[in-house]
Amino acid sequence: MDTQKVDLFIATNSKSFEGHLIPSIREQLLALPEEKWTLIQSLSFKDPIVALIISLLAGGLGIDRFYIGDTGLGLIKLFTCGGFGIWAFIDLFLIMGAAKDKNYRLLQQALTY
Amino acid sequence: MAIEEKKFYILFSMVLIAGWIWIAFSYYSHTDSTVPCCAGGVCFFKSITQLPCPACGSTRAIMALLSGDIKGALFSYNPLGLISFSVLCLLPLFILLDLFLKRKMVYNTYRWVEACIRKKYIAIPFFMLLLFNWFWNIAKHL
Repeated sequence: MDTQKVDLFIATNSKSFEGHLIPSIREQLLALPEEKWTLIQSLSFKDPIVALIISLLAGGLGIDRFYIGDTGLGLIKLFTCGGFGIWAFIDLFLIMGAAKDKNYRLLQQALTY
Repeated sequence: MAIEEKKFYILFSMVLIAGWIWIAFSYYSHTDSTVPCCAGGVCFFKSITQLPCPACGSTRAIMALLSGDIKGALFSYNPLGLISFSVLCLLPLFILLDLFLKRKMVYNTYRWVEACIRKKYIAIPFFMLLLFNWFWNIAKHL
């Protein structure tokens, strides 16, 4: 694919992925056929910062896990008062990584589709 | 077994063990009045907002159930406690079955439930029920 397009994609979405994965994502996108570009552009990634804010405000109710798409874990958090508060606290540190991981999986799914 | 599934089983076992430790501790302090009871003090949400969270009262419901008071468990405390308690009882059996038979029943069921909850016609009534239960909790001053 066009280098310019790929670099634009990387620049706009670099927040949504782990830093060490970006070079490999760039390589993958460069090797991608042109007709898949619309599919890649139509993906909506979860913003890790939004996930962190939700985790701060409503982490005890599991809303942060619902937001990044871990519905089952969100339900467990909701049913256990945020995992007795311990899980809610740990998730403040984990949630950004979890959101980035989800985004990476979504992208990989779209690339191999 | 893939890494993803291994992680899933480890996480679930940890949650279950924590749940059982909590229930054992609460039961101990519930039956022996010399041990201070800290239920109600652990909830983040409640200590900040003074309002009960959607799951507050679950421990008390389970304690009521264990002392034979089913009506109290259902109506004066949180009915979600009964769901949590049945999960706490049944899930370890199925996890052990999966471990010995090398099957993935629990994992597949979890994925299925997740897919179900994402459907709009299930999600909306389900979360309305949870919301209703929460308002009921607030009305009961749990």
